[in-house]
Parts: sequence; C-alpha cells; structure tokens
Amino acid sequence: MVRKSTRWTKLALSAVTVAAVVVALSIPLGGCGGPSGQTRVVRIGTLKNDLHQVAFYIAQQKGFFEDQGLDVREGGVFSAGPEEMSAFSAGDLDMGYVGTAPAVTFKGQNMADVKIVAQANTEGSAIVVRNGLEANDVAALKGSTIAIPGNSTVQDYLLRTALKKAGISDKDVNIIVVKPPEMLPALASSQIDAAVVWEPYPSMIVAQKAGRVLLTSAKIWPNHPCCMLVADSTFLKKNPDTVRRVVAAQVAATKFIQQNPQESADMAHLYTGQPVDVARAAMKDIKFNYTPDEKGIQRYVEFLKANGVVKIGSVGTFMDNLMYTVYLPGGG
Amino acid sequence: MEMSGSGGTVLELRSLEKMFTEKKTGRELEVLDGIDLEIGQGRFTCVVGPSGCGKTTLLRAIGGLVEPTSGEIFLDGHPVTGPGPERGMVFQEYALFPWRTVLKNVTFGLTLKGISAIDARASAREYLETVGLTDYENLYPRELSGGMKQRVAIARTLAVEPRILLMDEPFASLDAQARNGMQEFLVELWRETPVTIVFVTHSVDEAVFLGQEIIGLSGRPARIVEKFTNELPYPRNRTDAAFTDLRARILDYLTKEMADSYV
Amino acid sequence: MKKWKVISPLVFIVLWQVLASAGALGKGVPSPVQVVQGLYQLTVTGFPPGYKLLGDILSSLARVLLGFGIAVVLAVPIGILMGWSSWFDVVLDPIVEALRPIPPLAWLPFALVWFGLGYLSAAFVIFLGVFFPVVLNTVAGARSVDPYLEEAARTLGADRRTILLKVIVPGSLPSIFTGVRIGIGVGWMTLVAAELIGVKNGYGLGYMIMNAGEVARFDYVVGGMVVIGLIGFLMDRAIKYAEKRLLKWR
Repeated sequence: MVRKSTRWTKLALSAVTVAAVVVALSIPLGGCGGPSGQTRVVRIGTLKNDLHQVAFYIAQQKGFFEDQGLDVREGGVFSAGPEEMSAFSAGDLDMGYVGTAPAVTFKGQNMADVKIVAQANTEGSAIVVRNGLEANDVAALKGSTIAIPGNSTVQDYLLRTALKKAGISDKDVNIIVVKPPEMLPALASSQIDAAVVWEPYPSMIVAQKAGRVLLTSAKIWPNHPCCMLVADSTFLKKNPDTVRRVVAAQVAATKFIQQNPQESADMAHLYTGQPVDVARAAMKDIKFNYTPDEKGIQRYVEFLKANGVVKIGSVGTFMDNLMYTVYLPGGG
Repeated sequence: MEMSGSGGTVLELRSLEKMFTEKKTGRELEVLDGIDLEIGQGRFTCVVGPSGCGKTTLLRAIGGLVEPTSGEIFLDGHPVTGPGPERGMVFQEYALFPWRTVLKNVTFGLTLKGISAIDARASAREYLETVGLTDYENLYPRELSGGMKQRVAIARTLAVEPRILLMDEPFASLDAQARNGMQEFLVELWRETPVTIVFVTHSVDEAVFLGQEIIGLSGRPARIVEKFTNELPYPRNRTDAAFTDLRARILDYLTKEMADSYV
Repeated sequence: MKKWKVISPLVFIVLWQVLASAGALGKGVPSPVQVVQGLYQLTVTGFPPGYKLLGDILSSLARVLLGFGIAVVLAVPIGILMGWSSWFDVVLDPIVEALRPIPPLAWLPFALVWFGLGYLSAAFVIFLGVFFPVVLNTVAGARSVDPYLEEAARTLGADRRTILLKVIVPGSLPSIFTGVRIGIGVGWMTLVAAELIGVKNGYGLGYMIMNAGEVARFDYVVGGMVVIGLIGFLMDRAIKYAEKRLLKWR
C-alpha cells in the first residue's frame, strides 16, 4: 500500500508538472503576437542521415526554432521519402523535410496534401561510376547498367537529362532501381556500371574506393531542386503564423550554413555519423538555398506527367496548389 | 542339397538363443532359450505359446529380420544370415506397398530377381489367379478388404518361390468369418503347392485347423515344451471329436504355461 | 456448398468496392475497379513505361521456379537420407535446425555479393525460403514409412538401395508434396523482398510493387499483389492436381 501510494503521488506530481509546463508555455506563446488559437507545437519529419536536411539539425542545435517561439517535436525519422509522405497521409506530421519526388508524387496521387513552403537544398547528387569503367563522359555510358534510387525520382530525371544531352537514348542503357545503401556494394562488385544518387552516398563511394564521380548534378542541371520543406495544407490553413516561423528558422539555418561552411560540415558529421572527410566532401557538392526554383520543379512535374506517373490535369494549376513560398524573404 | 518333396529337412534350428537389451533399464532380457527344431519339406507347422513369449521373435529370426544371439539356422543345410527371398514372410499387418497396385505388389519381388517386366507380370497374374484375385489386379491396397489384402501378400510372397513360407499371425486382424474363410483358403493353397509353412498363431483353434505339427512354446524365455502331431485329414471339421480333443490338450498345456509365466 | 466457392470471392470484391468508394479504407487504397484499370495500364504501358506486366510476371516466375526447383532437388534427397539414416540425421540435423530460423531476407546482402543482381540472387533467397519446409516434411515423410514395408521388401530380396528408391521414396511422397506446397507459398512470399535489392533486367512483380509504392501508385501495387495471389493460387492448384494424379493410391 505504501509503495502504491508513493507511485500515485509521483504520477499526480508529474501530471501537475506537465500541466504547469503546458500552461507556462502557452501563455507567453499566446501573447507572442500570433493570432490566438495557433499552436506553437510542430511535428516535423526528416530523413535519416540525410545531409540535405542538415539545416533542420542546425536550427535545432543553434536554437533557431526556439528563437521563433516554436516547440519543435521530432515527428519521425524516416529511412525513405515515401514513408515520410505516408506519415503525412496518416496525419502524423505537420511539416517535413523531404525530397521533391515523394512530395510531388504523393500530392499528385492525392495521397498527401502538402505544400512546399521553402527549400532545403539544391544539387548535391552525382553520377558515380565503378572502378575500371573506361568512361570520361556520359556518352561513354552507352550499353551500361545504371542504377537510380527510384523510378521518377529527381535522380532518374537527372540521368535522363544527362543522357539526352550526351546524345544517347535511354534505350541504349539499362536503367534499374537499386536502393542507395546497396549501390556501394553493387558498384564494388561490378554488378552495376554507374549510379545516380544523392549525397552523402557519392562521397562515401569515393571514400571507400568503390568508384569515382563522373559528373555532379550541378553540371547536369544547375540549381536543380532537391529537398524541400513542406507543410500539411490543413495545418498551414489553421496555423499560418506557425508555418511562417518555421520558414524563418529554416532561412536562418540556411544562412548560417552559407556563412559557416566549416562548422556546418562538422555538424553534418555529427548529424549523419559519417566520417569527417566524407561529410566535408559531401557538403561541398550540396547547395543550401531556401528559395525553390519554381520553373525547375515545374519541369520535373511535367516529366512525371509525361511518364504517366502522376495523373494530374493542368500542370499550372497543380503548381499553384503546390507552391506556397509567401513566407520566404521577398516571397510575400 | 536334399531333394525337395521327399520329406527331407528344409529348416533346422540349433540351440537358437536371443537376448534383448531393454532400452530403459539396460537390463538383458532373454527371449529365446535354446530352440532346436527341424522342419520337413512340405510340412505345415504351427507355433503356439503364451502371449509375449517370443513366437514372433522366433519367426523373425528364421526370416532373418532378427539376428540370433547364439545358435544356428540352416536352410537346406546352408546357414542363413539376414533376410532372403527363399524365406518368404507374411505379416499380420499385410505390409503391402500402398502405392503399388495389386499386380505391382506381386511383381515387386519378381523384378528384383532380374525377371523381365513382361515375364514378371505373367507370373504375377498366375499367382493372383491362384489366390482368386484375377479381377483385382489394378486396384490399390486401400480398395481391398483385409482378407483380400492378405491374399495379395501371400501371392506376393509365393511369387518369388520361397523354400519356406513364414506366417506371423496373418489372420489375427480379420473378423471371425473372414478368418475362417482364409484358413480354408490357405489349406487348399498349401495342398496344391509344394510349399513348407511355419505359421505363428495365438489361436489354438487355428493351429489345430491348419497344422500337421503344433509346436508349443513355454512362457518367456521361450523353449519348446510340447510337440503335438495332428494327423487329422484335410479339410478338417471343427466339430470332430478328435479335433476338439486335440484342441483341449493344447489348451491344457497353454493354460499351464500361462499360469507358470504369471507366477 | 460449391456455389460458395464463387459467392465468397464475389462478396469480398463487392464489399471492397463499396468500402473503397465510401473512402472507408483510408487514403489511397484503390477500389477493385481502379485495380483493374491499373492492371490494364500495367499490361499495355507498363511501369515504368515500357516495362510491361507480362515481363514482370515472366521474370518473377523464372526467379521463383529457379529457386524453388533447386530447393526441391536438394531438399528431397537430403530429407530422405536424414529421415532414413540416423547417421545422416545426426550429422545434418544441427546444421538444418540452426539455419532454419534465419529469415531468408537476412541473407540479402550476401546474396548480392555472391550472386550479383541477376536472377540468381533472388533465386537464392527464394531457395532459402523453400528449402527448409521441404526438408522437414521430407524427413517426417521418410520417418513415417511403415517399418513393416521395409521388412517386407527385405524378405522379398531388396537391398538397401532398392529399399531407399522403391519403399522410402514413394512412401515419403505425400509428405514431400505437403512440403512442396508450403514451400511454393513461402517462395512467393520471399520473392517480393528478394527483388527489393534490385533486379538487373528491370522486370519483376516485387520490384514493380516497390517502385510503384514509392510514387504512391497503389493501384499498381494492389494490381501486383493480385497477380502474385493469382499465380500462387494457380501453382497451388497445379501441385494439388499433380498430387492427385501421382498419389491416387491414397
């Protein structure tokens, strides 16, 4: 009985504490200038070990979210974009850092209603080739087996763009899907000749001497869209001011990366657990830029539509519905 | 080698002994205790004894399925080790190959002798005719009654032309009516073919109906304690005074042995 | 009774359609009509475009049959020997029992290293899924053969080889068939995952399902599931039919 009552006392105490914290938090937040009734608690999803999203980690570590009066909760760390988008479908996320491809395909399929509110990064992918492959340009890849991380991904589009530029048809190569972690052993054992993949995989492949970079994505499609910051449409409608604050934190974090590349690379090493040299090499190939290139995204959406991947009517209408960049500097 | 059909000795057992080791206790268990026996060509011998005395072990030793601890077995004067087609066995549970048709059960042993498939089929059909199952050659064992199954098993064993037929309570699983029918059938078969039969049974009535010699074993360890000679002419009549008299004498011995083995 | 064989799937499909149309199954879960449309598109256009359904079916079928075939060819003799000879049992049983609980998918990285991205790596994973149920059922089958049959064969003049081939093997067949039927089911179950590491020719039902799922084309995903279910069902029926023909003595 004695023990039981102690436990109940503890429970009661912790309940009171939680209530007090909630009250204490909500009072200053409510008075923080935002329209009343808007939550300051945001569930944000991210991808595991993804360098493109290092701004999220930096915003957390440097207190950029707290500066905005936000209580950011980790909504989930996902191993792949589609899973993160499924979490949006299930209503488990308010906002998220995610690749353009899953965001657009899931929205196009009416599986998740999200809007792009800011960009995480551009570029940061590369075509890597296995050791011993005699190829100095894309044209030399004719007849080879090339891995992409998924059909209709940005990397898929990058490869097709590069092939077209080099004057070879995509029928002259064997394009297959291999998950990024498997690309390294597949290249090392000559199962595939080349792969198109995002950082840090190209840097890892180079560091482990499984292959070399043939072409960075910056040279295929300068400033191409990569990871985005998206918000659930319903959440955005209810809490526009909160979303505005998250965007502001993202802008602050991006500026920090731009101004402190060295420190950011070291933080990226902590964030992803990758060796310092891999993290540094990878960070060099990623461009951190918070304003998405709408025309670039539209090109990609048109590619998806042409391939029959997404069933959408007018690309223009879809784009209007997808982009919501009013909270970015110069956006509103 | 002795001439067959002349009444010479086919099978001879000399001081046959068998010990088993009990798995649980490791205790030595004596089952056969110095069996001496001679069986003449063409004779019908029945073996009776208290249940569990070692009748079946004796038969399996002759069949080569059980290795005797000591003593010798001679078939036509040659020592035997291991099983062989010259000592055909018929089991209580028929032991037909369920995946083979009646005909193919009978040809099994024939083809093992190197007989061509065509000749084996022809020969098997003759034996099936002998046991009265000509119309059943394409059926599978599960489609047959118990009596029919045992007739197939007999045909299968006879087909390889054994010197001696060893039968281990072959009719024990049949109902009384089928059992009587099979006994009559076996007597007829034996009178038509020159085969020597050793027949183990726990039924005194069956032994008296079938056997020319009836060997009485003691309780375990089994020794031969009685040898009854049965000169009644075939086919035998169970209501005959001589029949019932012999049956009573054997039952007397058996009752005494069973009482002894329970003490 | 027989009419229920038709009625129950029909009721299932109608219920599915009604619930999906009402949105009761959750976002993106396609209705039967959408699945049929998806299957049509997969057949004529393919996903990704150019990679048509027939190619997926043939490639997956080849992988499953290859892994399944090798598994059966190895598992049946091994199982017979283990069930018949205590020496083989003592030697092989610890190895079989230690490897058996490992999920076939755990071998994926090694499958890639040993067999590459071709048919063989997927076939290897399927092999692992099929092998153990067939071995275990074969062992049980060989042990269940009536010892009297072996003795009868010996008294009819059979040597050990003949007993093995003409008594133990046919006597084990019913259990072997049970193992084979379980095995083919496990084979299809492991197929989807086996194709996840990638397939060199770009064709495969599991591979297609994975790729379609990543772009939220759940009509294709369910379409692929339906095709796998249908092939699995047909293969099971084929084995049942073969069993009926071969084991009509039962």
